[in-house]
Amino acid sequence: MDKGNFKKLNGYHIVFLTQSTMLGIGLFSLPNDISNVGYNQWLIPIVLGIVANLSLLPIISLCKKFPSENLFKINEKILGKMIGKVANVFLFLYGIISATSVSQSYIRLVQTVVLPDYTITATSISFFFVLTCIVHGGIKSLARFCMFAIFITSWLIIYLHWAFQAGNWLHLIPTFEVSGQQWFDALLNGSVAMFGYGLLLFYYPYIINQKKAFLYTSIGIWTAVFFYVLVSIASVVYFSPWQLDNLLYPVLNLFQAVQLTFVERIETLGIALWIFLILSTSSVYLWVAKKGVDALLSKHKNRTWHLYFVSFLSWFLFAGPIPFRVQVVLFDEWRSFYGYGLVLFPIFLLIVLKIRGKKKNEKEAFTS
Amino acid sequence: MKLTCIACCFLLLFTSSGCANPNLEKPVIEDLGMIGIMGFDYVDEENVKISVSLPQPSRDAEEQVQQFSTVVKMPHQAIMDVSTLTEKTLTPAQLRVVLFSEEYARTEGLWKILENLYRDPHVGTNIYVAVVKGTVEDIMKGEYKDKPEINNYLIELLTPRTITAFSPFTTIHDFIYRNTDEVSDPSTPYIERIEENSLKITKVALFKNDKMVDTIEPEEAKLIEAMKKQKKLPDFSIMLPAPEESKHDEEMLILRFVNTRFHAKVNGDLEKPKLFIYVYVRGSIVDYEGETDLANRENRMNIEEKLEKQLEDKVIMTVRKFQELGIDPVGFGDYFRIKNAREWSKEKWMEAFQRADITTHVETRIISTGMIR
Repeated sequence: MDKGNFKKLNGYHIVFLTQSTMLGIGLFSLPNDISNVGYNQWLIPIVLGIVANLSLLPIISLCKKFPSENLFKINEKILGKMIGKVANVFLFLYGIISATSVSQSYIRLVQTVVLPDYTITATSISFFFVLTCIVHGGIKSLARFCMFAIFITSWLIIYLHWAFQAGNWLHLIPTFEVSGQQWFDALLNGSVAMFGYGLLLFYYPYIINQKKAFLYTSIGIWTAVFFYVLVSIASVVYFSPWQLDNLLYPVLNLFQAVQLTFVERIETLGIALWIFLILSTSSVYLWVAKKGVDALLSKHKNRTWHLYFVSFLSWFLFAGPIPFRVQVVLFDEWRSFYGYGLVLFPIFLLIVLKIRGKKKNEKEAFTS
Repeated sequence: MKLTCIACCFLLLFTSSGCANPNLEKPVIEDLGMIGIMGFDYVDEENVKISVSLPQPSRDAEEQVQQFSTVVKMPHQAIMDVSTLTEKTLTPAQLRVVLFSEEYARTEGLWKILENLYRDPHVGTNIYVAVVKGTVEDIMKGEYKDKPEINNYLIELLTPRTITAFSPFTTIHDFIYRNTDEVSDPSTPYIERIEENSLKITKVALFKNDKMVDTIEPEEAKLIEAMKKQKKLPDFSIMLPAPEESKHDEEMLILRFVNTRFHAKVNGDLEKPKLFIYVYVRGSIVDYEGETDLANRENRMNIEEKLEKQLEDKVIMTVRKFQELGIDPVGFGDYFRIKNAREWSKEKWMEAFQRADITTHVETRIISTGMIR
């Protein structure tokens, strides 16, 4: 654990933090999520990238106003003690639900594809053990883990070669035959894969060169978009519209296209390596949740047991005796709302700040 | 931290070992029966006769393969059923080939079976699909004395090689892709048993959606493959009309493809569809029966011209056949789809394709005639 300076994140840390938070389980099902628009789908990640970059502007401008405080403190400052606390509860829930939903979908995937003869208990406990260890190191060790995760998994992109080679490139020509509604739906469904850059709100105070935070985060966003675009191009050339609509994990089928002389069924290796991307994503969210507990219970003081508490809670949410229906609502339906919420929240805060600033000015003018 | 560590270790130990019987929990690799081939024969509308064969690694056994067949409804039902007949736990994880009898392919269609195999995450998608003449059971139970055991033999036979490159080497993914891409129709290799001892890919089976409708000969199938994707093709034999002074009526020529290129030009109008097919072939002559001096430039040009004429006729003939059958194994429709994406449907395209005006131009270049004149 780096207990040195409070400001400890370099530029490259931000880049990797951003992109590994974005790249996670979303990539596995992305071509299926945005299949509403058929073969035009490879345009969707690019549009989403632009939207994400635009929505980064209010986030950065809010952070610049409070350069040494994270969102939990900003909330309490702008909205006041009471409402701030309530908002923090929601942020804490966002962190924990995201962490859980990412790990849950991955562990379910492992269970169906790699370990069909086991229940998820053992897998999930070992997963959360590692997760807790990573978060225990604090934000810098998290960032380092993200770098490691990207380097150890990004080479899997090479395996898209088989899909490219077998595919039909005529599919790539955009035809724009779908209606506006379908474009909108696809953008909405695809945006789940984009959430994650908003967590800048929480680790901004730790950045050394805060002036360049926008640049670094943008680089992170666009690297993630690059991977998304590559994967959706591969899916578009390799699959038929029916396959795009019906395959739950198109990336797995892209892996299955691979034929190597010395090893078969490379997708098992792919899933196993994917754990690094999943760990890096959910650990950042878990760290946010832990900060949330800090904010709620101990006045922003760091307590290690908070970490154990959140990771147990997160594990319990999907491995505990909770009805499946509730889980679906929690992880699939609410999560995207929370995601939009986090992106829009800074705008709301900025507006409140503006109004309060005006009122203050008026008051000052009045008293003088 | 230490305490949590220990607690976690205990939890792990506890959950992973459990109280289950380790023999039942997970069979070791020696206990697994890896199904290599699955065959489907027609019984009636509901049922299908499934034959499976698995390699027999045990040296004590007299036969090298174990084979079973059973009448069921769904592919995985066969695995459940057959598992009780053998000492091994059957798994489809190493499935390599699925065979369908011609009767099954023509009456039932392949979709139901292939969709269910595609659903199973343990079954790969690089599994070869083929149609056989007669029943699959006979083919699988047959003795091929000078060949390796049936699993290996069929897998090797269906693996892409240049010499059999007229066959489409359809895998489960290819079949499902072609069947659902709203443009084209699948095609698979067609296997016959020849001279008791051998299996041969004699033709290519053509499908309309998932039902087999016809077959085409290898020579035409080669052109189809050339139009589908640029790849290495096997040698091509062709009969040319002989010059007047020659003794024969026709001369045989065998052309080795060096490379082929293909593109299609369409007018994009579904009302009055026009399709122009351009094929460019570079090849060298390996066998030649006639007496013309091939080293002479003019003679060579002459032969090129004749070749072009012949190939053009073949292309037109094959595409006409597709028009009559109402199928599009090449996927010409893709060129139309790009221009008419808005109200595209496969039925519409098929209707248009049958009316389409087809023109073609084949350009050949003989780049070498070998070491002698």
